[in-house]
Amino acid sequence: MKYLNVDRRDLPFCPGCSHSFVLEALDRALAQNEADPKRTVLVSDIGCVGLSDRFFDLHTLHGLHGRSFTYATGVKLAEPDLNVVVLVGDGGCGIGGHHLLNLARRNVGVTVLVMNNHNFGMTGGQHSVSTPHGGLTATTPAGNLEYPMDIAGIAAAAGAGFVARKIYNDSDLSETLAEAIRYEGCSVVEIMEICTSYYGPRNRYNKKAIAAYLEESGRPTGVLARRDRAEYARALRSLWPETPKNSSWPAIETTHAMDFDGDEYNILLAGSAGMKVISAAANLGLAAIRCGMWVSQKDDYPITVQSGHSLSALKISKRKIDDLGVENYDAALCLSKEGLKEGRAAIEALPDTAWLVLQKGLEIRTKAQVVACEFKDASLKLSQANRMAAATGLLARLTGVPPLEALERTVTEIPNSKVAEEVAKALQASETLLESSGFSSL
Amino acid sequence: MKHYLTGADVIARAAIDAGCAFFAGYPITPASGILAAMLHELPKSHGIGVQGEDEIASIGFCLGAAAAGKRAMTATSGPGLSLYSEQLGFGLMAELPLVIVVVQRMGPATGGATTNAEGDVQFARWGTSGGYPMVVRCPVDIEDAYLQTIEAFNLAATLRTPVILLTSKDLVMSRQTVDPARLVKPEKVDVVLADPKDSGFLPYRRKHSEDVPPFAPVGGDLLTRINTSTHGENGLLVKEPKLAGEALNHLRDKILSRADLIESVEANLEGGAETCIVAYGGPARVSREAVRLARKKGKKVSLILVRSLWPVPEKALRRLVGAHAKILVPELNHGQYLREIERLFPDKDIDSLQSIDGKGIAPGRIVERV
Repeated sequence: MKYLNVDRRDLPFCPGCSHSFVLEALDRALAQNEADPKRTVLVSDIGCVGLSDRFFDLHTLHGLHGRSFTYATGVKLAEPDLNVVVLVGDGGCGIGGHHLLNLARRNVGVTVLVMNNHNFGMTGGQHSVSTPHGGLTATTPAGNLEYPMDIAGIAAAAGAGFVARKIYNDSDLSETLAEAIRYEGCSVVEIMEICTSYYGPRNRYNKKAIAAYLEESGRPTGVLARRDRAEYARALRSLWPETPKNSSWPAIETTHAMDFDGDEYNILLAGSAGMKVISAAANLGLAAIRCGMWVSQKDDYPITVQSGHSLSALKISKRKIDDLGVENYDAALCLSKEGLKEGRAAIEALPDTAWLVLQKGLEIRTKAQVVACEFKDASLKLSQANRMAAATGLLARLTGVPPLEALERTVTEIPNSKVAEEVAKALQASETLLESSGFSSL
Repeated sequence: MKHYLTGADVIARAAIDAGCAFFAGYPITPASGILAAMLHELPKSHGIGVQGEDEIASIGFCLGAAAAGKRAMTATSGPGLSLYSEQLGFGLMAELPLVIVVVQRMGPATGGATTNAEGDVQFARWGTSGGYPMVVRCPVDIEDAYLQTIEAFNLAATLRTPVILLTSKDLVMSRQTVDPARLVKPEKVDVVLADPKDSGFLPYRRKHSEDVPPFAPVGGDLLTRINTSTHGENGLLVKEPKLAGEALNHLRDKILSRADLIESVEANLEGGAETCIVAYGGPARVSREAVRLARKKGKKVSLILVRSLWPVPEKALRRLVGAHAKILVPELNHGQYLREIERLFPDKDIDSLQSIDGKGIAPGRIVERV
């Protein structure tokens, strides 16, 4: 079977260009494998190599410079039974080198043919990542100061399952390409070429020079790696359950009731990373939904993970919420310096009808009724991660927003039973905290 | 019965309900929740979810999967959209359906990763070279995010083009009550496939410039050529001005001729109102609240919410703005949609309300300006 639909003389390359040899070898390799053209996709991008795909009667996908690797990965992950072959030059391995590394590392079942002619032929013979040291190009007039990337070596080091280096006129090139295409995982074949318009004549780089260059740089030809590793598209499918099934969102039924003056009750939770502020706010929110309320929770924290402030703005509303922002709060729970710093303006603006649950020692001017407690009291056995949960219990006892029973019920449904137990203990500890504060329950 | 969910939860579920079978993305705040949800959920429904080595690769994987016939989605934020730029062009030029969720955050470059903003409005429209129309949808609230995610998949399939779902940190990362009764699930619309028995199949064949060419996936029974170079109907590169011009006009015409399908505007007009608020995204939600407050105070005011940002829903806006003398445009940027409103209504009194510092616009500020 023929896949190449023109004679070598009708290919658009310069006279003597190695690309023509390689495309003919690819044609023979596909024939040796009896590849089904309908199940074979040729992916290419920019440069002289990118002119190749139209001459093959296969599926072709042609895109942006160096990104062939990404499109080919997508095709293979979508349809693992296809033969997916990337044709790329040394230029593509420069601009898309990161993708080549990762294609090799994941061992996606794509075959990559790198036609390495040491320069950018299409754009006038500029140097590429594979131009030999000292090489003369349009952009290295004094000889290349950079050192050439070992494309096959890098592919092998990155983990490609099958790696070979060949010369464009090797008599067994098509056999190597056929093996590469048959190989289930990622296969990379670097093919040493001559650019007959630029790099070749400028540097007297001919067949002999290729051999000398490979010898000097210690880069052997032949198969460099042949490994038994799981192909990634199939590995992904090994995670699938036998029958496809979507999961469903946790349902919250109305089991309790609550009320407050006005339409909205807004709570600010202000603490530090590690205090589980967001989880505590979510539990308050869930408890309020359980009481038929609408809730929104807007969280604020810096980009750091286990340090810095953590704030949650919780809006509890009797009707559907449009604006997620909160301007005025009815209650605030503030347990750390960082929380106080970030929440200061909102806490200072609390009206005299509002409640402020405050860690003892934190100082702020406010009109709110301040419930100062020692959350760090050793006898309470509250770890840092459970202090904000205790504060929510305190709020529930003081205000009934939300009712303590609704909050306790919510906590029983925390999926992680150990966490559920800890939070339930924190809610119990809030009784002691309330007693010590001098305020009494609702 | 209710749920308590983030926008990321809802968008991920909507994507799967829309038939999304492929997702690739790269971690970036505030879009990472969508990546995590998709990678957890997709395998359960026998879909493929992967994390790429960077944003360029992630959207490239999606384009490859789309070329192979999968309904694909990716999600990122502004800095990631910058990296998507060339690949957006791939989607436009190769005519591949793809949904791109953009979760906006503050500022250019690394900006403010955890701070809300909506500054990528013009960038979403003009985010790739060439200047061809990009379809951009913008959910108003969390229920609308569900609906518009599915609509985005349907539009992408109908038009064979990438569709951007433009959201922001507040919508995607905040948790809210979700009433399942309010979630609307439109019928799935599939890409029109080429007849596998068509012996004269051409990958980009069209009778009229605005026709959407029937699609054949790579790896299918019809040999096809997907090409991002200016191509003729056969998918091969063309340079001849007539053919190249036709190919490029087609990319514009297929979008602009379907304004009625793409455009979506929600209106709450009040007879005798002098001011009309035109809003989208976060300020759209706030404007609903502001209109309620203003009317409570006895002020007359109309509200128009733009769900389809690009192309600009000109017909609907002209009809709905009608006789209102004043238009108020609240935005979380330096007035990026304002210029469109000014272009459409050169004779109206146009007022701009802007916030870029992350604090947003409180309803009271809108009420003051009505």
